[in-house]
Amino acid sequence: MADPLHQFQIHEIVPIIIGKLNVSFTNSSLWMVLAVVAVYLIVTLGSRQGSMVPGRLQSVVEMAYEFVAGLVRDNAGKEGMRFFPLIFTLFMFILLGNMLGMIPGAFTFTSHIIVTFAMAITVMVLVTALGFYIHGAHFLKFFVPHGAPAAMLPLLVPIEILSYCVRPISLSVRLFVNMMAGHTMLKVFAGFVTALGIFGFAPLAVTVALFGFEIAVAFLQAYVFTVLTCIYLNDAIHMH
Amino acid sequence: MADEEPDRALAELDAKLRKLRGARRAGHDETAPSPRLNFGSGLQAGIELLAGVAFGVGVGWFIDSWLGTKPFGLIVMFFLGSAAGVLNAWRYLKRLNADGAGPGSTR
Repeated sequence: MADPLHQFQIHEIVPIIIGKLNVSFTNSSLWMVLAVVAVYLIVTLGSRQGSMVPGRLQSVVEMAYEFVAGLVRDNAGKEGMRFFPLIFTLFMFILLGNMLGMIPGAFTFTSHIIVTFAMAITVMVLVTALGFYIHGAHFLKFFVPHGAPAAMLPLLVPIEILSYCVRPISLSVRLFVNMMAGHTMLKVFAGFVTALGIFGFAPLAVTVALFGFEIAVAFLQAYVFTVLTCIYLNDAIHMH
Repeated sequence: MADEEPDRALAELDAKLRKLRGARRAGHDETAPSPRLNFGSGLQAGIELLAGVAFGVGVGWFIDSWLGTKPFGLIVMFFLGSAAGVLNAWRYLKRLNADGAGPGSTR
């Protein structure tokens, strides 16, 4: 039976080594580039005409815009709309990464924790810097819970700080675990199809159902990442 | 002028719906606002919990090897990290609850 974890292996396409640093162009990079190109093409081609009655591609772009704009406005308020370009980019990149990963034989770069963690830590560093930029030293009050007795503060403040520091971890682990678990499960059931011969139709049916489920998860996880980014942004802008 | 008629009709419908919903809620407890709990939300609460503990242990380990306070950093940070994990999981569930509460909420 095929190794269900084989799909997550990174292999170099164009080996590049600078000093001791291995910055090779891998299959992961290839699919990231493809995702970026796909987003770019969809958005530019979809918004080129700007007709009153949108065509198919244009309505896709409009729906994506409306969807993300709604998310930002609901979760981060009007001030959050300044960060719309960043959040839209994040959403489209993750969504296309997840969706392109659903193509059989494709590589899902969001199933690697280093990719998701890089995105999560970028968001957290930005949000923390923004908090200090807007509120100055007052942002430190974010770590002091409201209405807590002063005697409890030495215990509560470290907990709050830790809980803040854990955010990028849970944010990245969530996306990576969902993508990796789903793709592994898909591969395991697909492996049963050939292993079981004539009875392979049963796992085949499961695989088809799982595939649909996975597409839903791919969308949902991009959505969850975006919503959480907006919520953290809201914390930084408005504090509590 | 023409707008008022459908407005009133809508308001009446709204009131009727509210009454029906209220009656149903009074009859059965199961229609009370409840968070949409499923496998995904369970997994996510679990991730929040685990991430807190793992991060606390990691920081504790780092402090120990850095300052040479062998067991104490790990012990203290383990408990603080666990508390942070519980706090995050609780906040996650609270947010879920707020999202799924009542027909009046937008989403």
